[in-house]
Amino acid sequence: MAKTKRSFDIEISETRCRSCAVCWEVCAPKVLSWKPPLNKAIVKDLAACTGCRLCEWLCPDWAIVVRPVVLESSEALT
Amino acid sequence: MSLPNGMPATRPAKKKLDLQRPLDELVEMYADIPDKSFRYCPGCGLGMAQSAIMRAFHRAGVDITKVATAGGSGCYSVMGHYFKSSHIHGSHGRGCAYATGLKLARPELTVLTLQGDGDLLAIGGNHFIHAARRNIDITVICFNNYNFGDTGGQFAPTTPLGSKTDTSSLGMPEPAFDACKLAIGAGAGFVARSTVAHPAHLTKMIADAIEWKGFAFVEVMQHCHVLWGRRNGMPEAMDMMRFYKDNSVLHLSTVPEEERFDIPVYSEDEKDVKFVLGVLHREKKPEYTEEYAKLRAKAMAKLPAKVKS
Repeated sequence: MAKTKRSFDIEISETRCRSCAVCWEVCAPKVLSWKPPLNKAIVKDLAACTGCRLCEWLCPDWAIVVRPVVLESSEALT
Repeated sequence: MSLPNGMPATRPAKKKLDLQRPLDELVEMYADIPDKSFRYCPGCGLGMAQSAIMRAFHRAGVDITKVATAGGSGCYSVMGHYFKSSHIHGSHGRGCAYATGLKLARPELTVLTLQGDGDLLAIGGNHFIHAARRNIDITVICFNNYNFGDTGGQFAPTTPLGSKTDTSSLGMPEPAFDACKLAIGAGAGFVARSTVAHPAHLTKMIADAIEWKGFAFVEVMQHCHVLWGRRNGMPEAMDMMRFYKDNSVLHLSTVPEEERFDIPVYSEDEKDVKFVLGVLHREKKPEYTEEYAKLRAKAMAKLPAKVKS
């Protein structure tokens, strides 16, 4: 019985982000990172996201939205 | 069927935490926010607390058109305008007074006050203790950032002993206010404390406070890394959140009796003073609007029939 792999889609609003560094500091699997020169948050490694939603809950400017992507089990295996 | 001690055999179903709902759906339901970022400093804990309050509305299942918030002056005072609820932006420190009047006139509304520590405990201290004494059904949320942030970081009644602020550059000589202890002493029915570094816990505390029948008080430890943190060796938002994580205790039973309800004391050599999170006090008391309705009915019964018509 193969497990269904859960994956997540992270959307970051560039106009709302103000480079406060909270999201990439709280992210344990290092999914989020920053991009110079303005150091706005970017998604670096989406596959590592576990969907804990800490970045979404803690973003002070409400710039991050995490959506679960529902995959079929056969799709997840390939 | 019930058990011998009077408890029902089946437990009431636990309310399911709707953790998986994306932020934009919640915003559509409860908030009215601008396209650009908020008016707070970058990384400010008020944005996190605002998010927790919105999730608490969702968890408590309130109708947002039947919610009214009140507040005074401070960094937080734009927060009421970011929700779809009604908001009174009143004079400094009078949030509890506005909320009391509103609740008496319209008892069917859910009334919250959003207030800062200087607003609630320094300028509006008298309104706060008397609203707590009356046990009127409002929810007071206090954003404690250890200083007067809006005016440039002067010391407030909640500034921890020994910490540096704009007006106490050699260390605060006065001990700080414990807002939760004050609320318990003044007679509040529900008193809880949480920090922005524990977002799920904070959401639960605020939702429980909204559902509580009677005066409910939630102290939200919310960082001000720009003014308080910068002067005390914590210049980033994450430094202050680590400070909250390290200095807070989530379970009351793990703390000895004499150390409970301790407020943080900040100094160079002593950083290990803990403060307790969670529901610190819960007590059922007669609620003021119900008592007032009874009083009114009694007075109306005494009126002569001529006046009634």
